[in-house]
Amino acid sequence: MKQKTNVMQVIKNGLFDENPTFRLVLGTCPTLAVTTAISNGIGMGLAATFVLICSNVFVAALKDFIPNKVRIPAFVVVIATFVIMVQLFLKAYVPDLDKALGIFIPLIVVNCIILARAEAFASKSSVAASFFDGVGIGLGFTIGLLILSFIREILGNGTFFGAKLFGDDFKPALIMIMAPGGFLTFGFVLALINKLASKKKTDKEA
Amino acid sequence: MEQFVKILVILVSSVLVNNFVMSRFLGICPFLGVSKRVETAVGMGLAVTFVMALASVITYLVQVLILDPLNVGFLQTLAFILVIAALVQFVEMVIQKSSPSLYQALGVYLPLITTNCAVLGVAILNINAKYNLLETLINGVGGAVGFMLAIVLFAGIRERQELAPIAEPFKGFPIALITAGLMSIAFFGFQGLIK
Amino acid sequence: MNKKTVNKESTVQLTWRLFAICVLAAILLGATYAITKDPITEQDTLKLEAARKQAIPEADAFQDVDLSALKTQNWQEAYNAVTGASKAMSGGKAAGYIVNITATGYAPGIKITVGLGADGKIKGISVTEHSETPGLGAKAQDTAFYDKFKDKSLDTPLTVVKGAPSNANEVQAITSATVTTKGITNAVNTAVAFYKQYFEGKE
Repeated sequence: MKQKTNVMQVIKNGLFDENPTFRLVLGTCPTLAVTTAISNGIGMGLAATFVLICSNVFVAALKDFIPNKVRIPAFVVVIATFVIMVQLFLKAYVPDLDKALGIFIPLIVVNCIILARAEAFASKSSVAASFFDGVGIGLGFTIGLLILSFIREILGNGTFFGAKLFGDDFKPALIMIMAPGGFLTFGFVLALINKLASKKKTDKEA
Repeated sequence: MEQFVKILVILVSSVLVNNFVMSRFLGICPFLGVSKRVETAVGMGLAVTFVMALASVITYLVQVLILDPLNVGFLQTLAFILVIAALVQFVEMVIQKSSPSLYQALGVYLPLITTNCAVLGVAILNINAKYNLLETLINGVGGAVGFMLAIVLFAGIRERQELAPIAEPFKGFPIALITAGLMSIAFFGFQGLIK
Repeated sequence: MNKKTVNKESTVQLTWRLFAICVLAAILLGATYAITKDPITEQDTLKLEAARKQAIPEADAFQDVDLSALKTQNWQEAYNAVTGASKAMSGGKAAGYIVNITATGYAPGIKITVGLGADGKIKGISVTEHSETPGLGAKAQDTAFYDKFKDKSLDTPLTVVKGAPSNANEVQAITSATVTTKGITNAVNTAVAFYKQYFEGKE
């Protein structure tokens, strides 16, 4: 019974309390760059989640083996290995996603979320807990990407998952899928979530 | 002459037209994290410039002398990040010895340059664009100068925002992001520089 | 009772443990690479085929041309952007030539495949790779953009205009992506010049 609560707790943590995108504000580079289309957001979310879970599991499994002094390089080697695996896999089987995400796939290796979780959680926890932490945080990241992609694709491209939503006369706000759109969308959504989070806190205290 | 023009184009492009932070979304974490004060921003900018310039050159050499001849291009990500991590470690030691005050000022942000996606990003971009050694160096320096430009301008704005009345949910990152969005729009003005 | 506790942080330990992790990484990566090597090559081939089909739709066979042989015959500096060329056949008969060339728009590295026919026209183009801005320069990969080059005569070099084209050798720029359009058009012109110098009339 206690084990089950723990798993749900860990996953919920990654989704809400410690949501990497909106609460920890980590991994912002890919968050801004790939949220131009929902398919890209999902693709990046899944790729990063895969790397995060594998990295967490390996770091937790090797935590007694890795000396403290070289732990960061060790983590980096582990993370880079899984990133390369994802790179090769995408090039072989999903080349369109590889092209769409471009340079941000290898950049998963410097996605601060993954290194932060290895350092703050996996190196101090069991393999099982680290696995679920990876799932939770990864899901939190993916959902963050989805929310932003959703807004940006609909407003900036007039499509939902590639399917045209409005008639041909609809001229989408192109700026939404360009650089400023990323910053602005993220800023407003973050403000909204801050508002919801503080409201939840005052409700609890009331 | 043509090489000179190409270099000028690369420089203008990486600093203004395709600014690493404002258009390419590289280096956002330190951009948001270290931009609260102008002095720290300048210090970070200089450190990043140094690392990016050296990293560009060394990763280029690694690609050309090791990865390509041995046909292990797929190890690029691993090789590059290890080079960068070692480089940052080295720079840390140098700064610690030569300027302890700067070392203190940069604090934890110095090792964090390793995870600055702008550094790894520029290294990969250089290879993808098939630049030669000189062009690689210029792109690396240009990218860093662009980063520094963005981060210092941003710090200037944020210092003043500290004193402005901002709605509670927007305080901190949200207003910073919206400000960055407006800056990004402003940078669009530079697009016409390259005909 | 453990009398000999290993000091994990000693230099020897640091070195060999880090090395062990690298070896583990190398094994995992080697295995992944071996598995994905063939699918990746296949993907590249598929991409190449698709580009060639777009450039010369009726072609069914291609014969690569050795560029090094041409380098000694009046090679112009602009031709350094040409990365490959092949003769296209359709049902055993010559159907034209394919020239692969790289262009620079906002960023370098726009890979273009140009199809040139013996009838003195551009048969089609295809952009296989680029790093242009999504939503703007990226529209260079739309069929609507490719169609702008279809059936253009090889006689006059193409120029880019912002409004509607008034001449047969004018190409309308992609909205807000004039630089990308110019880069591609210039490259297409170079490909045409290349074709005219080395292949025209030698079907």
